[in-house]
Amino acid sequence: MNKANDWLPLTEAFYYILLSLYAAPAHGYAIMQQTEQMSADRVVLGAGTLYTALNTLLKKGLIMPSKSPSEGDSRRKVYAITKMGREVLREEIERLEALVRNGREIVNRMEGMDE
Amino acid sequence: MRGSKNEWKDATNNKTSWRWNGWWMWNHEKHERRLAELSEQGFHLVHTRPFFAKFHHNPSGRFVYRLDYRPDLKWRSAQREEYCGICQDAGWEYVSGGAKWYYFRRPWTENGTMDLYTDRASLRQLYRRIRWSLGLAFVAEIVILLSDTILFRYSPRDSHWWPVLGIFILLDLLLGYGWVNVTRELRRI
Repeated sequence: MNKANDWLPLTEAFYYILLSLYAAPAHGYAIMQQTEQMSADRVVLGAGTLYTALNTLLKKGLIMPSKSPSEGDSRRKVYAITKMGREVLREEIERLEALVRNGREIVNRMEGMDE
Repeated sequence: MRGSKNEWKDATNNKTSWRWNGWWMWNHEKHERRLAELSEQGFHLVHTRPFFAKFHHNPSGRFVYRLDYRPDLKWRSAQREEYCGICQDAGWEYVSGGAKWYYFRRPWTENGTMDLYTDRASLRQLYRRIRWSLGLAFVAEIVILLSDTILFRYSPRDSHWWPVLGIFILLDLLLGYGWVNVTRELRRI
């Protein structure tokens, strides 16, 4: 899995973790909260799911451990997105946009015919 | 978290009892339901030992329990601490653990409980970890049986050979049954 494309499609957990880290590094709990906030409570990350996903992303080099200036002495481990992670996220957004575009085209055309 | 647990323990005057805590590795969700039922009756698991667990008696409390299998986390490692920290942040109190199984609990609510695993990918990984350990134990059993046969030059004429063989076959049948059950569960997820 060296190319960004090989990662697609992302699971919702991977997608929202990368999205949470896009702006700034964060720890697990902040990722959980941001995911709930961004998705308006539609996507909820359980603790086991979050830890498993963080480990996978870490091993594959999409995220990396980071030192947080404000929480340097905290027990919470902070993660940052890598260059590869950003690339994967951008590719996924493009893929999702294409999906939505195609879907809308067909659905709108059919709705036009119905009328 | 620890402070509140101790306060609660004091309030119950440490009414504790030991109960049987055996369960099948391939059916941990059933055990979670059993622990929740016991908690509803006022018996809350607080500590585990092989086959037995310590329960506190307090009719006013009620918890739900979740079990997680994490052979990838070493005891007293930074990863284990991080994992338990994430669970604690999510509202799960670490209760006890052993043999790479982790027991968590949180107060029961009417609205139901968010699980430890909320997506198919990570749930499948949990079941794969369980299946891998069952498979490993199955293979280890066979290797031990074969090496015993060779080392001790057992033959069907030995009277003590048949009970040994019987126990091994029984264990392997159980492990095999567990492996098949987990595989079925993996197909369902």
